[in-house]
Amino acid sequence: MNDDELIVSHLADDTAVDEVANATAGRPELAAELEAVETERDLLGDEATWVAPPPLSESIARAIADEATDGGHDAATVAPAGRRNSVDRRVGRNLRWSGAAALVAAAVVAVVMVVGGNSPTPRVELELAGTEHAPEASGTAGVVRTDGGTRIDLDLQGMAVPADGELYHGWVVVVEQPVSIGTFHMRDGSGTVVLWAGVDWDHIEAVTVTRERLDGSSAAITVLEAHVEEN
Amino acid sequence: MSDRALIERFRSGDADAVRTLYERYGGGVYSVALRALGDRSLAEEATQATFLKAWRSADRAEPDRDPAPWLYTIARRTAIDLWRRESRRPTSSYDELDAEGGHGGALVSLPPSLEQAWSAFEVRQAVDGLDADERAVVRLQHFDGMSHSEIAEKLGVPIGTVKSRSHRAHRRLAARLGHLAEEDS
Repeated sequence: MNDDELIVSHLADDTAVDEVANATAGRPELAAELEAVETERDLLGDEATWVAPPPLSESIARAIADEATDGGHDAATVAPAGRRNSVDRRVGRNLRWSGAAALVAAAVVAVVMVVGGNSPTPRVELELAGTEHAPEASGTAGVVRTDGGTRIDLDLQGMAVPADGELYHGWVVVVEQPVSIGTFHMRDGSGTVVLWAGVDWDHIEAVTVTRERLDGSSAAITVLEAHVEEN
Repeated sequence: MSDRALIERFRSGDADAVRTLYERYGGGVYSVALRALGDRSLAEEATQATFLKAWRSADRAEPDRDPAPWLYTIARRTAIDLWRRESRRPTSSYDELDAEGGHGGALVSLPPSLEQAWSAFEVRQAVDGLDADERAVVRLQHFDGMSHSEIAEKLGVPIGTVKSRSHRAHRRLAARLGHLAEEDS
């Protein structure tokens, strides 16, 4: 058996211990090569090699298509939405904590139905009010229900420029639980951000924006809120 | 379509090219993410985020070069970021933060299973490149731990067919993965 055949046989786990020992005696480079093959063989038995990846998320595909239509790759950050994880829950607790205080100062939210252009899809527009942590901040959240999820266009003004290591984080609240819809920077203090929620509009009770540190070294602070009073 | 043509389309802002790139390299990216994060849900999130990041930095993809190392680098970085995010110690309030000295975000440096991530990526891509019948034999042998005779019985083919498919598949894998052994040795 030549070296190439030995390697194939070793990868297939068809070699005997003494066969390998005889072949590698005095040949450290071949021994090292066979050791690397064993790593590959281990990986062939690893779950990660065989589990099928998910299909490309429709919300991601749609965001990419939208950006392509807009002619650029550099639109706002969009994160996969809909999966609630431990961090979401943690931030959720913080949201409820800070949200309770912010509610005192929150403005009444207006819900305006707008039928836009040629699109048959109703666009709901929410008015976002700055909380006590960001009284200068304001904006609107244009909500459009699509087959791929709920698209939320945030048009924001008066936002503090995030410090290094900080970002803004969009959320929708469903059954009193926050669901992440993506993170973004607002380096100019105002602008439009397109985010996507994997939950249906009918279940959304509020849209909020928090400011938080990337490294999680402080709690998220709610800076904008819009509560959907009749949904 | 060649990888070169695909990357040129990708760079030009063709959204359909993202789907093709995903079909071609989604398995490798997912393997890196799953190996690093050890959680299918997180790995799915990392995989989706990797392709979005790739799309947004498409101008850095070079048509003359293999896109695999570039995608791998993004996938690895994304997995590390998710790992760090998930490693944060939960906190429930400012009061709790204050009681803990104002810092509730101790970070873990790197996921423990990241050492062989590049090999995992390459092995996955190599496996995905096998014919379906060869891939089935390799999976049953290595992942399900079956003998040739058990595989023959499961697939309903003669044991000689299993052996020849296995040999052919492993020969292809060895050829495709040979550079990994050279890098390690």
